Amino acid sequence: MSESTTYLRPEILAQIVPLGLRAQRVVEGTMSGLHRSPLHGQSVEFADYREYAPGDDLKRLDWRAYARSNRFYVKRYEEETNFRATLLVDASASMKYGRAAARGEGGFTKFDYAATLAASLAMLCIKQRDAAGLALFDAAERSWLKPSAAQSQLTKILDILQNAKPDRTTDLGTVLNKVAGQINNRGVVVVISDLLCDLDAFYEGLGRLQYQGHDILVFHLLDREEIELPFNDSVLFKDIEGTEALFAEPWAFRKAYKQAMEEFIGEVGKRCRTAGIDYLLLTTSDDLGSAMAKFLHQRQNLMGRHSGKITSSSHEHSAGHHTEAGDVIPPGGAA
Amino acid sequence: MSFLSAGLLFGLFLASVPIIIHILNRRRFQVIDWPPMKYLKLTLKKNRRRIRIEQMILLAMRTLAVILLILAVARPVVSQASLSKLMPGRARTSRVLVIDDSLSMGYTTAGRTAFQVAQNAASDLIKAAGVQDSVTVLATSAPDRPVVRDGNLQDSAKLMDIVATLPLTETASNWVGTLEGVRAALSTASFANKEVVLITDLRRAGWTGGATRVADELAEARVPVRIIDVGDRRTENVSLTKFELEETLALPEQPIHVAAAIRNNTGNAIANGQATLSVDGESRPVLLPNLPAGATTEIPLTVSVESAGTHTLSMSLSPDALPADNTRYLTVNVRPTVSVLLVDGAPSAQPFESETDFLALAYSVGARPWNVQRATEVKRIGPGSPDVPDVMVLANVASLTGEQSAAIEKLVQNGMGLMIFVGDQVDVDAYNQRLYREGKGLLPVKLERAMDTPTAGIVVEKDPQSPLAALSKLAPAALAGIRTRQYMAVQGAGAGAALPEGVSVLARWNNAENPAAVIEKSVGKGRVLLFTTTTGKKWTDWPVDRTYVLGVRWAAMGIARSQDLNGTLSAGETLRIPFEAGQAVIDPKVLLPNGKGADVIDNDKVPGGGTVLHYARTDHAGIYTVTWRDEKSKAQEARFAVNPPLSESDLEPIASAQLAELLGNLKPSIQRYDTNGVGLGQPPRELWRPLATILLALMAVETMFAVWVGRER
Repeated sequence: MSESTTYLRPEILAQIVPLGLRAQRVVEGTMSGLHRSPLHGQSVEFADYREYAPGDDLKRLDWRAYARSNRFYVKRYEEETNFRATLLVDASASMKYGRAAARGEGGFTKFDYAATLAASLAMLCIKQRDAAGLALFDAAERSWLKPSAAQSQLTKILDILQNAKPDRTTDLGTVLNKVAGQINNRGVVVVISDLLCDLDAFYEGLGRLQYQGHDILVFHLLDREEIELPFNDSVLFKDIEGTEALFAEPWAFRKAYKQAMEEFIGEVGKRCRTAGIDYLLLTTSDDLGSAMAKFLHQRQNLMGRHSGKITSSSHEHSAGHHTEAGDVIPPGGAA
Repeated sequence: MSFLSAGLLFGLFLASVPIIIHILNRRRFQVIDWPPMKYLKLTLKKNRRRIRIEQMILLAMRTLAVILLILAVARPVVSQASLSKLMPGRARTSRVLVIDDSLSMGYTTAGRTAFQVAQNAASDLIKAAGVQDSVTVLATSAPDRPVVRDGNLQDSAKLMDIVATLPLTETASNWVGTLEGVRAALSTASFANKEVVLITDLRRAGWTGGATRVADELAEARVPVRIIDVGDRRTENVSLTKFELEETLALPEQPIHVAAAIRNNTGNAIANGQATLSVDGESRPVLLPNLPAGATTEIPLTVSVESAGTHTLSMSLSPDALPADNTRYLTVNVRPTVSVLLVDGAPSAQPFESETDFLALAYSVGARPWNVQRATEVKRIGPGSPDVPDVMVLANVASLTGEQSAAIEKLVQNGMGLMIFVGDQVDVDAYNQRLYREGKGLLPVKLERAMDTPTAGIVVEKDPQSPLAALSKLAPAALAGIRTRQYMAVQGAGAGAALPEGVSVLARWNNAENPAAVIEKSVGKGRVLLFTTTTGKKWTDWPVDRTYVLGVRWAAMGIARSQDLNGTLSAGETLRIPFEAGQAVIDPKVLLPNGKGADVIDNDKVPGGGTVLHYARTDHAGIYTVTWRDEKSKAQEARFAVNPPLSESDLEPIASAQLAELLGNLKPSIQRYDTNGVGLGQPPRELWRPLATILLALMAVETMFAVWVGRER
């Protein structure tokens, strides 16, 4: 395992502070895992030439170069920011769950994990000159940063995430509706939440965002304990976002509970996928880099079916085809 | 149900331990701030009822396990009848319940007799038996007359009343007869299933070898038998074991000698004891000598009555644990006088030359002279004639005809006493031929010949039953002066000779050969005394000796005919009065002792034409008086003294091995009844084994259920 991969493990990452460094490790790990190469696309800033290949847009032929060399070349430009990513991070009280982290045994709370993921995605976007924005919410929107590709944007995002205190109830539906009103241009909306909220309102919010033409990614983040209910002692369960308490012996209904949670997860995933929304279930013990790579890979596969979807080279999809690693192969270069 | 270790039942409070642990466990939990509360509530809502029921079942099983453990160690016992009530489908049973009502059951312990305990046990049995069963109740005093025959247990209260009012008798237990009564009751039982329960004190008395045969028959019939032992293990008892007349004849104003005996079967000697002697209801105290522990002490008593007739005597000791054997009864038929017929074989007109002069004088002295008749030959006297003397004396009678011999023999058979004095007139051959008849006649021995051997004195054999016993109490010197010049030698009565049954030598002449002087023979109800010398002075000087009057009077009284209508019986024995054909018995009845009223007495014909009055219900000791009127409407009565059976005074319990041997193949279950409420429907059964089995099974089920409940669901 490479060093970068090692740093992508949550229990290791959790020991690395601050968040910026943590995100940097994630991004580096991700890029390393993807065999990072310069990404090229349609832009105003010239980069170099490559030989024409059948299928290339004839508009991109450099006739001047043809005149000089009697050979067909197409121009390649430095890629520039051409999409806007808005990261919606759940900062409700339920997101602070993470017993191992609370006990100092390493690992993330759900919010730590969400913050790391959000920071990593923001860093990835800004490094690729895309704009990244942040909305931190619980029952309402608590912080809002308009998407920007400026380097200072990353600092602001990290600052907000580091100073967040998840301790309120969730109302994701309202937040999504509000965010939908705030984002004027089409872009990518990334939702990072445990989705322990009013799901109908959540679906409604997603629908509105989708109606506005946004690409939506849902990172459904849960703790493994929340899914498996692994406790062997009697437990007094206190509602983390309320005042209700329940005494229970978990072994007596563990399977039923797991089934209920699986139905919940399955239902959310199904609704998202049915609506064409990317959905990925993450647990706080999952490898962040692997999760991102898997997500990016999934995104790449979707590129063939969708246009204008979030990708690091979204504007080149019509000019060439990508390898799994995201490299663009010049016309005839594949031979 | 009862418990052998009831104290351990206090441990039942431990049954709360599982509940306490459950409550404590609910207080030991971790607190978790939980985000997906919605899904937790949803799941719990669906499963709460199931979880609660499972927990309640687990808790109940654990609590029950503790209760079962405590119950098992407390060793519960329960009657199988109680168990069988839970299983009503079982077969109907005919039960034969035998209650020992013999005298020994009156033994008192802690204020209650064994019989009362037996009544309680019987009531418990009846209560415990199923209502579909039937019960036949027998008492050992009358096993052939069931108290209740095939009683319906649906009316158990009535049955219990009958048992509760059953009287204790003073009869002897007779287990052979009782088992035969049981067998007869079983043979008429209603149901195929049978059971026999004997409630007894298990004393040794009454168990005889004949029981084995009947017991084997019961064993062969596969009838389960239970013995419920209600007896005390103590055997301490003081009893009056003898209260009898020493003579067969009693006369008014004459001393009547009564022999009493007291057995002190306790561990301590009794000093300064006192008894009560009652004559015709008039009591007087009798100071008792020291009664050594474990010994029987003879008490000589002398009474006298003023008038002739039947008199009743009784003697009572101070009450003890078994008072019924402390009193004995006696009826004494006091004759107005003794009638003697003197048959003189050598009469003479000269004073004291006749053979019977001295005898007549001896029987005529005193304030109440005897009725003496003198004859020179034997006249014909019928057996029922009032002329039959109490004693007939043949004094030097030469010989008797065959008819005379037969008539005398018949009179003796019916109770008349006969004294035979020999002399020079006696035809030895005729005597041997007609009176000896090779041992079948009246003569005790065969006569040989007159011997001219002088003797000096007479030696009386020490035999308390001897008519001459009074002489033996005299000083030997008093008898040494009796000089005899001649005597009749007899055959087979020498010193050390073996005599035929019923023949005994009462006195011998004092010389080198010790020839027999007086020889006795029992013939029927009568007795014969053969004197081997004369009653006059021809062969002996005894008639002029001072011992003569005493000797011949006691000899006559000893063999004189007694009133045979009266008698002495043991309780439970049948009282009988026979009558010859032609004798009328009108309106017979029996007056019970102690003023308990009158009862009917049966009068049955017997083979040969006579009748017999008989009464079997002599259950209690005392004087029973039978009254009737004869053919002339003259009131007649006879009294019987019914005494407690001596065997019942022996309180030694029968050993288990001996009982097992007597019962042969019958293997009864023996159970102690301790009056603490243990049900007796069937042998009580300890329940700790089934409880332990249930406990183990419950623990296994609990473990499996706990695993099943604890699995992930």
